[in-house]
Amino acid sequence: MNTTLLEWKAAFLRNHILKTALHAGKGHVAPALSWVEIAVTLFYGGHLHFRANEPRWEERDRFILSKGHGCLTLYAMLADLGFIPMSELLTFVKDGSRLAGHPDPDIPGVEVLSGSLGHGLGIGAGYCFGARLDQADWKTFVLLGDGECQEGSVWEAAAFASHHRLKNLLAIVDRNRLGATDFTEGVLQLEPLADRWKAFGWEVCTVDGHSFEELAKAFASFRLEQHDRPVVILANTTKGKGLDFMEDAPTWHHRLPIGPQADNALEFLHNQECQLAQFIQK
Amino acid sequence: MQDFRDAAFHAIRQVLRIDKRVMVLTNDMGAMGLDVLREEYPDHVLNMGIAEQNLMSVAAGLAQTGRVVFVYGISSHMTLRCLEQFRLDVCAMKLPVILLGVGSGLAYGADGPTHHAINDLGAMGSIPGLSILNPADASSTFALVDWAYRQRGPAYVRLDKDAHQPLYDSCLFDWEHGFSTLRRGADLALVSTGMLVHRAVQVADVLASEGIQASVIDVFRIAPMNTEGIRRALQYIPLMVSFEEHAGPGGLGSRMAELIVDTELPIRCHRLMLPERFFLGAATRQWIHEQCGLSLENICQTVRGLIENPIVSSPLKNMAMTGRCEE
Repeated sequence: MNTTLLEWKAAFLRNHILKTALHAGKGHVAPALSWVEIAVTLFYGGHLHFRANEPRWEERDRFILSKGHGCLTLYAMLADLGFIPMSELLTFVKDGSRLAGHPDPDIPGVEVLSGSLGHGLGIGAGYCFGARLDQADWKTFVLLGDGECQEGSVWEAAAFASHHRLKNLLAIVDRNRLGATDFTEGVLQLEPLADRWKAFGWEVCTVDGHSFEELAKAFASFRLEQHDRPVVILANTTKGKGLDFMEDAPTWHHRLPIGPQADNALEFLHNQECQLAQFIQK
Repeated sequence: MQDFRDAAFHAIRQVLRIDKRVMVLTNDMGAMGLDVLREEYPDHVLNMGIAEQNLMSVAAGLAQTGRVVFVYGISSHMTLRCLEQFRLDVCAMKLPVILLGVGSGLAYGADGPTHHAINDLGAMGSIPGLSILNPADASSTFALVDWAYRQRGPAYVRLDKDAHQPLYDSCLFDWEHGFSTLRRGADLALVSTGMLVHRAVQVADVLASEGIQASVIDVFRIAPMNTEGIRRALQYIPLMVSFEEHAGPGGLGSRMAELIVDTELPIRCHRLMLPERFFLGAATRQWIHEQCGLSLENICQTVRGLIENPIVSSPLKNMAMTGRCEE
């Protein structure tokens, strides 16, 4: 898929993330917007192996959204890819819907329950250990929030994966520099984050988390398996990316625009998606 | 006398003979039975180091790859330290991860409150779909570990650290039943679990010599409890006395009281249990039992009082702790 197509998919996701949240009246929009390019590169760029019509395909790569609150991106993508009907997005957080505010495996395409932070990397390490015992080729991708890296359990898992040289494990840290209420560095310092991962025995790769090119290169390098240890991609991102009033602003973690601000944002994202769609049709 | 841990690991060895998709994880905890198992099946035993949260998440991940995972460690650490990982990663996913917790109740008595598992039933019992098993001897340990493996879902097996005399002759009992009636008597029912079942038998023997006929019921499966079976076992008995090495909330007595209310069973109910306190300082198991009304003589006295006088206060209510206790 060429870059314009990926850009169009990113615009599609951003539009549907906001639409879904506004329709529901709730949702973590800003944490969803920050990993849109990561999601698009993985799922549309061919770096993650899956079958939408066979979600439990034995040889699929396992994708764990450890930062479960970023699920609006995943839901919009699963709908677009055909794992779930597009109309189901309108049921987000409604009574009886499969689409809760954090994802669970009743949703086709979702591997594990997530939402409480600090669980995904350990589960992913368990997947990888099992896959290695089975001599299976599939790999495990875990998306972590950067604030999530304040959890001690993340580092327990990092130590385990490194000790056992789980080279079939890829962690991606959505380094948007914001936690739930403030900047991570002001709350509980993470830097030097790359050095931390290195010290734990991981192969570290730092990229612009909104660059399809850099992300694709990093994912392709992981697939080549020239490393002998687990790999972490520190993806520098902007929380709320795509909506200027939301970008890098601590107050938007779980807040929705209202009134004219919401209308303008919807119109802006809708137009962006339409323009790219028209460009592709030409 | 056979060690509970030896019996548990012997059961896992039997399972491993036919099922190679079994793993045993430990948080750097040793046991002779585990050493034997490791020698025979080195690729199936994994020391995860002292990192219980990750241990439980990895166990969940391994189970997701089609394995049955046994997790072994000290009860107090393996339950409350990583409760959320067990609740969400394992139990909410209905994965076959079987937690073998050694040191149930006050088995690590003098090691202090960090090692006491006297609130674990309350915490673990609140997790939907979790089977909780509390064997009283080696035979029942062997059988219940095997039962836990076969039920293909999350389970917590409480293992006593001390060896006890056999209560069950063989493994031929129907363990699916969830409880067993070890003595039959019409005057009252003594209901217990784990190592205190031995004391229940002793109490019944003492009372029998005084003309009081007591039933003894071993509730070896705390959850899911065989509500209907236990109701039937109690239906013609006027008095039920439960006793346990656990604090009140969520313990056996608490569950028995719920059962009695829920089934509208017309029976007097009296619970003996540990107080809701941290037992700071050194205190052996036996000493705490004596302080808390759980010794053989304490229990016999309580039962005599209940039989002679329907309005009797629990020894707990008047208990004067002489050790250091945090209020």
